[in-house]
Amino acid sequence: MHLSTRFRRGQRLWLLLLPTLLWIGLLFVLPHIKLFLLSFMDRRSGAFTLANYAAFFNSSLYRNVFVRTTTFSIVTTLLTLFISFPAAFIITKVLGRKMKALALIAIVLPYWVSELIQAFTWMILFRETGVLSYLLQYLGITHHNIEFLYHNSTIVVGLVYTSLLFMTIPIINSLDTLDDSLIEAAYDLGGDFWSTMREIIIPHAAPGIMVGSIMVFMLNLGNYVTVTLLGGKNSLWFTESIYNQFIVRFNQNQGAAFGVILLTFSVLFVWIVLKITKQDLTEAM
Amino acid sequence: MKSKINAIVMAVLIMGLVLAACAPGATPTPAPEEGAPAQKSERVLRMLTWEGYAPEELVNKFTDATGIKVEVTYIGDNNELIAKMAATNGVGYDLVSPTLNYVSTAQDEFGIYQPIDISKVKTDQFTKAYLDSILEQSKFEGKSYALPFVWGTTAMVVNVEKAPDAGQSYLDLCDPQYEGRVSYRAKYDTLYMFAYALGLDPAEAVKDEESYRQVMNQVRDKLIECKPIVRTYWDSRQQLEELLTSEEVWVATSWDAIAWTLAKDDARFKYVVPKEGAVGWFDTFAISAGAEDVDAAYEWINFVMDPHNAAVIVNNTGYQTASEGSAELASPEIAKLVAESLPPEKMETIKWYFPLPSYATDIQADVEEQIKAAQSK
Repeated sequence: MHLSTRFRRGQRLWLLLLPTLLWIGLLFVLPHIKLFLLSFMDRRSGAFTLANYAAFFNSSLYRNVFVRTTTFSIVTTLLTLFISFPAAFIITKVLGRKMKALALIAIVLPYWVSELIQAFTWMILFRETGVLSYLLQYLGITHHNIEFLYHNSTIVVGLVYTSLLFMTIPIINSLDTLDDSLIEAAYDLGGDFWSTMREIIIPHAAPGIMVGSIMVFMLNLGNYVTVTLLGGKNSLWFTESIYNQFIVRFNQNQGAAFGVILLTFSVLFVWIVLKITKQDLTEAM
Repeated sequence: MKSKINAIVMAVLIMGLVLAACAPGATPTPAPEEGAPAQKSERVLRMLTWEGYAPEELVNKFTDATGIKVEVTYIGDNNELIAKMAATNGVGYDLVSPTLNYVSTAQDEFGIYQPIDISKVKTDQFTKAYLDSILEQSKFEGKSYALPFVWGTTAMVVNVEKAPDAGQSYLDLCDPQYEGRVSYRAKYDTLYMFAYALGLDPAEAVKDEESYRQVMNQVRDKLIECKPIVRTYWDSRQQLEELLTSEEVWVATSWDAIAWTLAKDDARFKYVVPKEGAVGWFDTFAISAGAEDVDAAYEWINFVMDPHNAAVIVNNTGYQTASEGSAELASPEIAKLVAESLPPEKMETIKWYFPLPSYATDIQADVEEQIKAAQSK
């Protein structure tokens, strides 16, 4: 009796999982299998070929664009971490209940508008005849218009902004579980701010930092909207190359190969970083 | 046990349903019933076209006059059109509006159109020069696949207060005195402009892969050399308008409709055709190989090319049509600007887009990426 009810309950649980399984299966696994297969096919005959991958490794252009994209993503992830960590720390350990709730809302609020609108907002602020340029002149800091848009640094600002939330929330989560008395104990035992930070707080927050960094790195690597809108004449992003293959050149197979390369590389990169920092993914997540 | 089987059956069913809904080509396009093919009240014309080419005003008028319902799907670019058509061999659409230079190559590669039956077309509504030229240029294996519809040009827009001397040649886009005040697209139209400005003939070179690569590589080197001059590569109408009205950019390449719309309200802006000539495109009518109601498609063509109706499209889009007399019936302000910037002698210098073999699309895309990837200050 007991066993059979438990059995049935287990079955219903399985049914509850169905939407998620369908979601992952149909929208993630299936398309990626298709993408993987496409990447090994010749554009015209459909026969097996490695030419699509060779095209990537033989072209200095695509390699450079890829390296640039990765470098920018790493820089952006680090910058995001430097901005997010103090914010998360203050929210969890310094602010009172009410202020904490307010701060959380303030962090989430900007994400109620889409990434596209965020990018357009940055354009209004940054353009030569934009708000920032006007403000600097009004304050007398400069006497002519300054163009902030269409630089590589503009992309970094935009990307950091769009990824702040995904870094801050995991860190807040991990810091929340850190008992305040541990920090007090560290001070009682003669620790100063930096040693407490180094020995107690950062090790405890490491899983959150890891999750945040992985998410932010992946989001940046795969970003398209912010990069194409804010970037200028020198900023070809790897996702734009993938887009070009599919849409402009009509070459699904080459595009698929680029997609697989991007996916493989980012998974590999995350794995290596986890190994180096001796973090366990199951623990981190 | 039974409930377990039920659960599995249910799961499979749901999976199947979702798969069916997602599968390409399985979009519900009810086939006409064998018994009653074309009942007057049920005729439907399905069009794949650009925004503004089938305005509601005309659609309603057409349905009132003929009883044929019209369903319009909009496209964003020619490759999207070809992809949609190729996915079903044209089934699901009757009438489409590809740009001329994509017609014969797409027919060659995918066979998505059917030949034009000129006997069903009211040819006297068309400007004869356009009709003859498009019928000729859309030929594949001796048959014509397209009729002229809407055309436009790409040349330069100049802020006459800031850069009164600009616009003589496309090479002005590379003039150091306008450093940081120039914008153009990192796309094929700019490649053509610079090719002509460098004294090359891309329309001739395109017939051979090697010679086309040579021509495009020369253009690429020039554009990389010019990269410090350009402020940014524009890629949407809204972006170009902002760059111009804020006076962040003084000299740019521009579609004629964008420049005329700006110039109509603002004397600072002028659409200028330099000595190399404007680059021109022609959107056409083509009949789908999988069309279910071919006659409805021709009825629409004859209806839209009536100059009174075509004038509605001119006003809607800012582009010109191949319907004789439609320009005069449309906005007199725009007609005046058109006549000013494209007098007959300038019309003759228009460099029409040429058909692109698939290797040419690749070469252009290569060059576009190389230009964008090059680093400059």
